[in-house]
Amino acid sequence: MTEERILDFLDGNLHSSEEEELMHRLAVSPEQRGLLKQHLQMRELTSALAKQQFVTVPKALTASLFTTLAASGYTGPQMPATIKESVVATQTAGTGFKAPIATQSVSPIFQRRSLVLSALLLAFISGSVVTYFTVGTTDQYNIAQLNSTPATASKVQSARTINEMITVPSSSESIMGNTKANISTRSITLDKPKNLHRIQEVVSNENSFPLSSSTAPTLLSQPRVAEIASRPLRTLEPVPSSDIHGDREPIRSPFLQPDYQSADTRSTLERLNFGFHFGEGKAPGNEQALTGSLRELSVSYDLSELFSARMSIGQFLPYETQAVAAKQSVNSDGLALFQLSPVLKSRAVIGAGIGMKFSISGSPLEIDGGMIADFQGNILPRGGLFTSLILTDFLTMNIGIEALIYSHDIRPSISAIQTSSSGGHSLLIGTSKNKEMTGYIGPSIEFTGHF
Amino acid sequence: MPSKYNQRKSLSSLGLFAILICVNFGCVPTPSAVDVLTPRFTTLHEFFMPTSPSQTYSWKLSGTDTLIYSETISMSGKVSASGLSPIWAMSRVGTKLYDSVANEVFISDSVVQIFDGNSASVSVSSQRLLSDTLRVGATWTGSPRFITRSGAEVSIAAKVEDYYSSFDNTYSDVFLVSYSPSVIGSRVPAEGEYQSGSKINRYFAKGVGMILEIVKDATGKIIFKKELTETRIN
Repeated sequence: MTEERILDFLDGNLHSSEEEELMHRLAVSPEQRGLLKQHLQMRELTSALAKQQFVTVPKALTASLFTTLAASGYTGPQMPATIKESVVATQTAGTGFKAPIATQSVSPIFQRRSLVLSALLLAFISGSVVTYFTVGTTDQYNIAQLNSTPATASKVQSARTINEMITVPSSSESIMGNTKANISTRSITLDKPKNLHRIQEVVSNENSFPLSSSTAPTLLSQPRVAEIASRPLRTLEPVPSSDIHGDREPIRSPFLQPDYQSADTRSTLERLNFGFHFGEGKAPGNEQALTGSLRELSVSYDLSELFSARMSIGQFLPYETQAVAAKQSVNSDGLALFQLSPVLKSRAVIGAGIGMKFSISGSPLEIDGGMIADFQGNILPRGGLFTSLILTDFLTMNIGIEALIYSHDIRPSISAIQTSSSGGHSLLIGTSKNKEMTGYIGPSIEFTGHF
Repeated sequence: MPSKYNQRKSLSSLGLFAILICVNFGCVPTPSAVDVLTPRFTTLHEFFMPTSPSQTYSWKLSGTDTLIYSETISMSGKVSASGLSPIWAMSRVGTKLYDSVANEVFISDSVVQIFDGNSASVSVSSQRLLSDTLRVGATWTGSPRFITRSGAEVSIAAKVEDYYSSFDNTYSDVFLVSYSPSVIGSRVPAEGEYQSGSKINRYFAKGVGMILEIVKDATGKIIFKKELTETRIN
């Protein structure tokens, strides 16, 4: 009861009469005066702690604390849901006493909707780009998958090397003398899928990890090192996929092809791919921002692992500058006015081309080149760079950049509109030109089905 | 079926592609994209008949009344009363005698001035066909006091009404200059093109000169029209 009064006194919650009574008790009780001193010291301690270093308490730890408190019957305020980070002062040594002295809630970063949308968009674009260059690496292929799908390695351009550190037993073996410790590594190189061809176990690697007996007294004894060094090279048995992933499907890069059979072993039907292609973009160097798009159905045939042939039929929709009647059809003298304006044209096209496949950082890339003809005497060159993503075992999505550039003559349209001006004069307003470069460079997508 | 991992990454890439498409849709041109500022020219001599001291140029014009005019220009070697030099002699010969007239012209980069007779005479009337910088909206005084053949006195205001990059796909860089006469004396001119409210529209093409002239009365009715049909360098 008296301790509570002492705490109330320290908190300034006692009335004047109650303080007088407490002082009277303290005056006659050395034991209670000692209790007051303890509380005063505790207050000084907590005040000092508040001025010391701050450490970050993980959110999970805070949540765990509140969970424990709730299980113990705590019914006070709950952990704020928006707290991202709490900073509390703790004492790292000494009594082990930890008390929240100062808590600073960091405001949520994303409070404004526009900021959130902008950040999401930026993160999405950057994430996609990063994903493109990082996910497709070979590191995500493991031994188990290589073994379960033996032809995989043939698709991977470079052999995979897996270095793994030997787990050193934490026994009481000690290094003798001041010799340098030998840290052994095993390097496994897989050249071909079915026969884990060359497996190296490099045991002795002198000067690789200098340690003295004083700094690393419990690693390996010299007899142990000699034993490992004397081991003959041995072949590691492949680890079953289930041992690593259990029943889960092994993770694989979406950029890698689902069918890892060598093209040489595939049948004619398996080499055929059917796709729907769509691309659009902007013509470079064209101040009028002419655009075009191309959509077509295609069939391609893998000639080899490197090359494929492709034919297509579809629709080409370019914006081409043509002479058209101006908004003000005649001038003050009644002469016909026309202007050059981009007009969306639609042309049926057929195409043919060659693709060459290669890989960068494990991501499959393909350069396509070819031409399309528009049945009007025009042959338009085209080219593109694509990468592939697996949608299903039978459906692949190819995305990339495609260019289709050509120049066309504007004069026929000018002559045509003059002819249509019924013998009168015609005046061209705006800029005049006879030819223009058009087409497009832009994103392109293709969904390809294969057997 | 692909794993969720694959689907997620594939959808991300698909989303990126969709963004690229949306960005590209912003490139679709609009009619306003073809609007450009009209040019300006300071070399006015390019918009009159080509001039070379050693050559004679013949321009043939046809009118609405089937009259054929032949304009010839050649070096005269004269100096005008106001000191302008060189002066070119320009004669117009038509199928009717009264259409045959002789003019003298001063041609430079800043002024093209045509004299209605002998330029050496102080009392001769003249018109400034082109002046200063040729651009849409430019104005100048064509003549503060021009005496017509009928003896009437008029002032003429000139204004560049429009610019066309092509005329019939034959001539390029064409300016439409409109001349508006106002009667300043008591005598009403007999010539319809000089009556108040009428308008003379002349089209000047770069490297050629005047290619079309349309004269309208105060009501907007075309009085006559002359257009260039043939050019010849002798």
